Amino acid sequence: MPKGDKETPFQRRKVLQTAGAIGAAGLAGCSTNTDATEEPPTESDSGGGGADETASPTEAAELTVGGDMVYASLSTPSSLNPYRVSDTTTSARINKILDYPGGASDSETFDPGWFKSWELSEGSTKVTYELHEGLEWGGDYGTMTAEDVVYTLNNVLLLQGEDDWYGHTDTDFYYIGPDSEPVEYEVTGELTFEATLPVSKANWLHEDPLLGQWWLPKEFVKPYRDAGDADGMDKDSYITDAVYGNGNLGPYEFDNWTRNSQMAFTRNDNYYRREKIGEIGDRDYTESPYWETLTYQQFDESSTALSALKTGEVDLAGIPDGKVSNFRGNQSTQLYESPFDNGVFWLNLNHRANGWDPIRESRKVRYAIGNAFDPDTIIEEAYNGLAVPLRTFHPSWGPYYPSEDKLTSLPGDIEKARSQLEAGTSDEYGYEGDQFHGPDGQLELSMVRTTGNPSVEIASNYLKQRLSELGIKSTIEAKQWSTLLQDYAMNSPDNVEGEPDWSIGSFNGGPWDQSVSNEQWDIMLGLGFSTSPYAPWSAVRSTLAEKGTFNLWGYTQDEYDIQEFIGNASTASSQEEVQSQMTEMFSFISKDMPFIFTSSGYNVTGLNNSVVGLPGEKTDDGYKATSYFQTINEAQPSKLYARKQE
Amino acid sequence: MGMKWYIARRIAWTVFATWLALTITFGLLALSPSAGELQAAQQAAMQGGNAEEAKENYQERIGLDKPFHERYLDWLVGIVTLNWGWSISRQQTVLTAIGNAYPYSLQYILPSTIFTTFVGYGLGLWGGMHRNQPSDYAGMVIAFFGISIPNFWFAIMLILITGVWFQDAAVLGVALQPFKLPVFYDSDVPISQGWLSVANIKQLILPTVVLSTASLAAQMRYSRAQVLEYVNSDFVKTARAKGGSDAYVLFRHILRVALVPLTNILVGTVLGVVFAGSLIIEQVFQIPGLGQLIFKGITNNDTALVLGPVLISTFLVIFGNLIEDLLYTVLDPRVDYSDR
Repeated sequence: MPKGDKETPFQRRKVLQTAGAIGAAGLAGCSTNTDATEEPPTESDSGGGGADETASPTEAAELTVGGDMVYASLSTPSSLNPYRVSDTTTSARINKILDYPGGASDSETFDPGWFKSWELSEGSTKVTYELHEGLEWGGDYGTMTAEDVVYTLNNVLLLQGEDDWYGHTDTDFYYIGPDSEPVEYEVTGELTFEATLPVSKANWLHEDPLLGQWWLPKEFVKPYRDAGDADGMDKDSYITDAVYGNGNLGPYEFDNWTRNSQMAFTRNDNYYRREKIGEIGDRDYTESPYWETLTYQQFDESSTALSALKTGEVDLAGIPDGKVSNFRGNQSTQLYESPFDNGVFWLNLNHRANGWDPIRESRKVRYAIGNAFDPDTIIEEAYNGLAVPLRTFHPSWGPYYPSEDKLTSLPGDIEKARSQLEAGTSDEYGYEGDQFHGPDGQLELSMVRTTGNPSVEIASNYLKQRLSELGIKSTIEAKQWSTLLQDYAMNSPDNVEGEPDWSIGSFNGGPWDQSVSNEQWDIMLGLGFSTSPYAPWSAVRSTLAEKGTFNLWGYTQDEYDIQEFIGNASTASSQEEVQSQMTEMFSFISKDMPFIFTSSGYNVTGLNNSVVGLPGEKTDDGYKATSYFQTINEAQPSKLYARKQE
Repeated sequence: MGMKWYIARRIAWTVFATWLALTITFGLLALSPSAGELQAAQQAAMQGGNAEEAKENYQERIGLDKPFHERYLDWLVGIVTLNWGWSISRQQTVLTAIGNAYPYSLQYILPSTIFTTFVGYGLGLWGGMHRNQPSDYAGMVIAFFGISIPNFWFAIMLILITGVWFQDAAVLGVALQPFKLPVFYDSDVPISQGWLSVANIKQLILPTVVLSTASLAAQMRYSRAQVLEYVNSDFVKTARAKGGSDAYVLFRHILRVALVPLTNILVGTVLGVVFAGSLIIEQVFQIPGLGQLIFKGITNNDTALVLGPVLISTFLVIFGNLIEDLLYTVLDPRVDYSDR
């Protein structure tokens, strides 16, 4: 699926279901067989706003405007409402008619969109925004002003509690710091406004939610806000028919949406980038976009989508890792490979009371399971090498990945696993012949995995076999994504006698011994997490801190105060300090190994051979991205990416 | 008067049965877990927010915060006043959604139904008249193939063969590329080129063929069985003795009698196969029809979207049974309901 259809450097954190290529997958619709996550990668949320300026240009081609581009998509957008975006598919569609306000072209450089400039003050507590002049709304709402932005912020996005008439789902992103205080916004000119951060944020370029946020004209929102009529606003034809996009704010205009079939766009001749941005770095927007029409063709069946790619009826489709070999050397298609997906996958271990206690009690036991799981073999055999190994909760190409000497590796040695198992368990456990016994006889562990994914199935079967070599019996249950979340990931103090000391929510109902899931489990496969590689602290805080809102595993330890480190890192005033804190923390996480870290995502996209100018390094089969910020960004194509004229 | 009273009672029963079916469906949907709610809670938790509050906001947004009886009554009133609600998953009214979807379903279901009725009956009648002859065996092969082959697999195979292989293959030096069929259904073709355009018909061939296989087999088997029941009866022997040809005996005598039980399966079996099969067809070929609409409505817990088509299909089936029963009186004058 089209890479680059992302949510700017500000990444929504998502639980991921292992896709065919362990690719990132949108949250919404990421739950059942009918949804995208089990299928080839959907619109990925990785990548930055444009090409890496250090990448060498690809082959020269005479590029002119024209042609129709058809993308195969296995996911469904939920609406065209810019205020109700909860999945990457929907945001990717809306992104065709509304540019993002801004992005990052590398780790430190702001990439303009609607915002002409974005400046963070020294001390990292104030941000000054300036809009381009002449940004036109669709309909009769004139030009975009700072007042439009700040009105939406103060009347839709930042509201909480009883005042919250709209129920926007991303409000929490605007409350930051240890005390969750709001960012304050103030208009300073017709096209300028300022944000005051309650805490210092050196990496705010990668955390600023406004860079991934859309808004609508104040004059449109105000009547509904005054009436408190959220439902009315959602059903207004200005939103449902995407009239807002008929100005110059995006590369395309909305044409039509045939539900369960296709969504079509036509080239916007008034696209603001041509005049307002033009050439920037090695990107040239003076003629963009290059397609006359852009169509997303929906498929519910992956095989149909791949067949359509082979016959040329679609021009781009995501390829599951099991099918990549079918396309290598194919005469009519080329492959775009990117090892820079920010999805992180691991073997989940249950630290709660309804799991096997030594998993929680002993690091050595976790090492033993890790050696049995043997992540490197899993990557080679289950994922056909199309995954990037990692040893901690951060992609190995990310800016905070510790050096190898500071990471714990698992060589996949069964003999070592045996000795770790014996050393990590009490005297009640031990080997009797080849079998590993506990107080109730041979140890039996229960595994649960997601359905519909061959890679996960292979991995689980391999682990079962390896556990058997360790003398441990195991059972595997395959569950639908929603069932997995509901019965295994969610936990509740109602399942344990007594009241919990604290409770955070459905995914962390209390301490490990005071809140457990409905169903018993020890090991879970198929669930991962997306993490913003340049601003990973929130992901770590929500998953690994004892009171993290998403610490469904019940992980806790006394050695390292993750919460404190996260707090210090996320509010550090310099990049060097952030680097030092985060690297140290990731090193500890590797050593403590709450889960068996396996790999980060690897996206393979198939394209029609007539598409040229892809960013990255040329390979025998097509191209390969050389940086996280390199994406197939068809929403804002530069002269490096367009279709050759037939 | 007796017949009119019978019809009036049957219509009243149709309304009642439809209401019952819809109420059960409404109840089942109300009991099923909401994927959207789960997703909202999940997202909030991962962002460090309050999962329970997110669930409540979601419920409020789609109206699940109201008590069950209030939602049910609102919906019932809406059905009667033709305000069938708003589809959360499609962001349009339910009537608009159905209006947009049904032409796509009709354009392959109708030809398929006509084809299977005439061809299925025809093959069955022929097979019954020529029992145990090569043509009868050929018909049985077709029938067993249609009944046995899984539609899903068959559809994908046809796509591979006619869509992908035909692109590059040649037979006896003749390239098959001109005979290549589209891999999926492009919903823009009927809009831009016309519903009866060659391009649209071409992309309907495979869906129609796949849908026809199962119901054609059923029609064939039933009609063959009926012919076999009457082919050795006294009135047929008399007709033959009087010099009637096979065709005369079949159409003038056997068909009339056999049609009575055959109409019985026309509504129930055909509609059932068609509606069940249409979901698979639409899934594989990506046809944005009613099958997809209902399926996506169920998986997205979009109650309003599910209930509209359920109402239509339930009403059609029950009303169709009434028409069927009335047809009996035409086909067989001995049947009379006026004393019921």
